[in-house]
Amino acid sequence: MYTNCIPLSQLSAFEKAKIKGYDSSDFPIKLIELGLTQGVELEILNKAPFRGPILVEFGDSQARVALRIDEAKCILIEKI
Amino acid sequence: MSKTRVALVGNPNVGKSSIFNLLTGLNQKTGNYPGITVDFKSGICNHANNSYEIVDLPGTYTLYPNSMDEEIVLQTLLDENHANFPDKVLVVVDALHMKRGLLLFQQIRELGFPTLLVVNLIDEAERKGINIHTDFLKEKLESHIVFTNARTGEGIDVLKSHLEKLDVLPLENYFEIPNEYKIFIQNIREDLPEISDFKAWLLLSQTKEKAIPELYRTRILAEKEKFKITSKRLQIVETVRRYSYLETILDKIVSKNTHKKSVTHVLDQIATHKFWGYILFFSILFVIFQSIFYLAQIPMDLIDGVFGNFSFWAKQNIPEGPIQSLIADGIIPGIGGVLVFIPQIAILFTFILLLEEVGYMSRVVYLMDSWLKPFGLSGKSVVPLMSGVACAIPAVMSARNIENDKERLITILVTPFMTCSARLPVYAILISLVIPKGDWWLMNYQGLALMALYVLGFLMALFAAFLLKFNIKSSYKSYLILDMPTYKLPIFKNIVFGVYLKCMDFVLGAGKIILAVSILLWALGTFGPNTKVNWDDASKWTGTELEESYLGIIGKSIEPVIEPLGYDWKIGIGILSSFAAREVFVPTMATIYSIDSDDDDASGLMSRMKKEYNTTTQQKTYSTATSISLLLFYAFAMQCISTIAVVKRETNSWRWAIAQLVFMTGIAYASAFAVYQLLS
Repeated sequence: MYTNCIPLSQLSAFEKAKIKGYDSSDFPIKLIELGLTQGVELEILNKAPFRGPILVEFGDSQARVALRIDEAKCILIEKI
Repeated sequence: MSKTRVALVGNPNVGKSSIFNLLTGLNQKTGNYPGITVDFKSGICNHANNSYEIVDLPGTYTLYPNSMDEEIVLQTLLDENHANFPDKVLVVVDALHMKRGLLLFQQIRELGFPTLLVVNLIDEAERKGINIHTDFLKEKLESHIVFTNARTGEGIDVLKSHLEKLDVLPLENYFEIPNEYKIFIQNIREDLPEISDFKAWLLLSQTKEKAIPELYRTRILAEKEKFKITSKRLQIVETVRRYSYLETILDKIVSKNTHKKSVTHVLDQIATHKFWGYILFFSILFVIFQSIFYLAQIPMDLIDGVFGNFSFWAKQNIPEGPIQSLIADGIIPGIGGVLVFIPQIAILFTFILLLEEVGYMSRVVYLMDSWLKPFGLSGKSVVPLMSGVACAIPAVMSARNIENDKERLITILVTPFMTCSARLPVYAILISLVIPKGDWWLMNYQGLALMALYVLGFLMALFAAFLLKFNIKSSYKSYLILDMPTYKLPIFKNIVFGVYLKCMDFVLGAGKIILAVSILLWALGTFGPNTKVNWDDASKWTGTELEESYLGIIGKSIEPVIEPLGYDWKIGIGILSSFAAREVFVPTMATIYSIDSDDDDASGLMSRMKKEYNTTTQQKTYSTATSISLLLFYAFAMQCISTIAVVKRETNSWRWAIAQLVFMTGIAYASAFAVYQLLS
């Protein structure tokens, strides 16, 4: 189902992608609550040094969230 | 008849607290970083002969709590016996992020509350070229909608007028319970007929046991156990279905004209930059600490002088006797000792509240996460740690918004190492005794010394966190998912009232303790086992020598314990009374020295301390070694009854509160001992 998908953690800064699904059943539901749902488009704006959180802008309303790499690994995306 | 209770619910950072201020006029702190609504705030709103009790609940995204803050919302809304169970609910949503807000709105209306949708920040939406199609929204939601601009107060009167007629909304189910789960809902409703389908579903979806009100807990847990229901699965199903429905109507609700890069976008390129972001953050910290010393100096000298003169005046104008002594040596220096630190506290809070208001605090969380994670903390610990610079009590409570139990516990345990404003009085006076006045380039020596103490407190907090990390177990995975609000111009009224409330808290809360301790100290210092007061002729009364008073006896008896740290028995009394609250040290010393002085010396405490001479060591009492030893003791020791109480409450155990007390005070003693022996 999730062929051609990579985890969000592998995306570089300023790259854009579309959310295709979620990787593990153990992902924090808060990701979905904030609106990072399937089909939503996102862009990585920045990455904090030392493998710190990444800053993601997503959706039509250009909401911004910060995620740790571990959370980003759960989100499966397709580059656009 | 009891007042109608109206709850304010909404996502974080939607300006809910500003609306609360506008509704109640009871002005409270409002902010832009998570966890600002640390506890229930309630106020009264009067409109057209009706009176409403408004309850401001913490921000949340759904009724599925991830943190303690969010649990509070759920418990209030689900438990009819809850002290704050509302009659009506206002759901505040951000015009820029309608989707998130509407999700919460749907959940709440389906719980059966009379609900009103409040769309805030319409000014920002307009500026961004976002249009909200009210008629379509009204039709789709079958609800009244009020648009507000919390900055100007626009829409608040309309909002008030809706409060009375607010009714239960038609229950078209936007979310239909999936067929495979219907059987469980039926089972539950057979035993609990008073709850609705959706409420049963919501109860069944809770992953955390304690999130379920006690009223229903046994029944729900039994059902989950029996049919092996995975609650998280239910949460995902509901959230995804609601969002996909909202997605279909959202295009018709919101339309956007412009696609220009927002101000937030530009600012974030600096504020979250790998290099400049940190430079900016540390520059801000530097400015704050320099301001605390530079700007506060003039009003502080003024207050110190006024109270010195006032005490002198009292001595000349009140007839001699115990009463004169109580007022001139006990009460006046006591009050002066409290008020003198208001300028510093006000400056510190002005900065902290300003950073919250503009939305910068979340950026700090983002920047600091990878630095704090190795110590068992989270980026979100920055909020408690920075608030800890003001006061450990609200800081410990603001840790509620950290989702992971372990990170939260560690944050609570190390936050009191941060330099709170109660330490400022002690630091300020000791620094001015040992560090010379003067400047090095733009930097003030004393300001630098103060900054060094703040850094020391922070490093000790990290060190303690690191030790704790290996000794606390956690069953939950740690994560950081943080909404970054758009930058907003601060609402100055919110800051002014916030600073005012904080200062009043200090004066009334700490002030009461300080005043009580001052009077007690005066009594203990004035009377002794051999004092004879001739009450008929009070003018002949001269008081007891300090050494022979009860206070002197207590001080002398603890002297052996504190002597290795370089303290005499007078300082010992100061330290003992500081276990009520740290800031008590300064007025205590003021009281002790004014009891002890024979002449009517009107000079302030500072010059008196400089003159103090230790008869045993034949040196100044406040030598460099002693002063630095004292500074370290106050930096590390747990000397605050209120913090101990709040840690006990927040961790729900005496064990952690007592462990913290012993640990912190042990470190304090050891480091004060080491530094004194090294320097003297």
